[in-house]
Amino acid sequence: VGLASSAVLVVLAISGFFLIHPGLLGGPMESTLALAVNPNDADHMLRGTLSGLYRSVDGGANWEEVPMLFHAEKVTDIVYAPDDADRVYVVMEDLGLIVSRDGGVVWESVQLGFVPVAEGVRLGRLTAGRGGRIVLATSGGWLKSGDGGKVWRPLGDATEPGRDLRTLIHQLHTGYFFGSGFYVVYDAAALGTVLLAVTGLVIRRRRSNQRNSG
Amino acid sequence: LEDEIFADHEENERVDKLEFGDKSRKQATVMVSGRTIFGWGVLVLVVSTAAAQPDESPDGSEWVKVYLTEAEALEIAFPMADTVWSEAWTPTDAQHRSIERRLGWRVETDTFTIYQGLKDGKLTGLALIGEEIGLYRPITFLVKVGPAEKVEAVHVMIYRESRGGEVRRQRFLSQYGGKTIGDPIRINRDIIGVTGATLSVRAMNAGVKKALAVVEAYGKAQEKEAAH
Repeated sequence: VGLASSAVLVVLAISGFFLIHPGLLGGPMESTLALAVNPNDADHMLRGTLSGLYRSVDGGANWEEVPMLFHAEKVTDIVYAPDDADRVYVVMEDLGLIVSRDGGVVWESVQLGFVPVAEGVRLGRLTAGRGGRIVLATSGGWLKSGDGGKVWRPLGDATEPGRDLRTLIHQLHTGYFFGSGFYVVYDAAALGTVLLAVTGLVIRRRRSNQRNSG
Repeated sequence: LEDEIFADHEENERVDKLEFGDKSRKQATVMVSGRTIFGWGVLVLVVSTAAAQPDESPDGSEWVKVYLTEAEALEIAFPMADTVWSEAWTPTDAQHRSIERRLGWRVETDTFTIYQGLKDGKLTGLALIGEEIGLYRPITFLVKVGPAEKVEAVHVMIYRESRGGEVRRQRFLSQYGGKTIGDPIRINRDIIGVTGATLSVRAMNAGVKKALAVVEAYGKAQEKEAAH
């Protein structure tokens, strides 16, 4: 059990390291998760990846990261408003929805009424109509707003954010399902696993030594 | 349930003794202990589930931790200063836009309180007290910036959530030392994050960067004023 637990921990540590540093895995560039062309200027493009939001002003030949205070991550969609190309929405799977009203220079958060990553809700695609009408697809159902994102309402038979199966699993995983302080039990369980692995190795070594000396 | 668990425990002990006899008493005790632990685990889960109260934030006021008051934070930030005074600075529209463009982010605050530490009439640094939302609630912190517009110290003053409080430790905060507005100040670039506290780290990164942008704009405004 000790050896198996140690092996699992080592695999988790190594795979976690590579997930945090994807550049070490090779590949010319991050895969594009979302792409949008400015409807008024085809040379201006925005590209969303796992690690950020990038812009090109030369039709996609060169890209630079869009500087922003809260940098974008896991961009799932980029949408220019059809009646105002200066208004552009960027959807991030875990971190929420942001909007720029000046073509992508200054950004701000659009309040959804919940924190996606905390509720275990993933944000997906977005569509924008004229007059600030937007519809956002999430793992908990669709949300629509008629005023550019100030007020949101569920569309159709949407599951209330935070009430779907993935949310339940997420809350079980983090411990919040059982109460705000339950993560301590989870941490204790993790520590117990590590102790189990270490003590298992120590016992195995002792027995091996005893056999050798016997 | 607790009574049932204890009753079950006693029954198990009796059955185990009959099944294993005296020779296997040790092994039987180990099995009983395992069952008891499982029973207690179930009890803890049931009680915790019943106690769980879904809320906008799962954390209540009991998680609010005040590590430093304003006076304490300023004393730590300016240990050598003989005078610390504050100025409420309201940037002009152009200066405000400049800060926003520098950050690439909308800044809601109109007026910033800038603390200045003086030693024998000479400026030892500037400090800003800011707030940024971590997961649900704001983190209150102080950023001290030296005369060369480099971060000299960051202190978390109030932390209001159950998780992520590790960002208050100097082991983490010391990473901001020497940062300028030109630095990325970003997880996995020049800041090593804290496991399980990603949003708190993002909030701290943003708070430090915002403080640097404000200090830069304030410095330019002071220079312009002095030139006139």
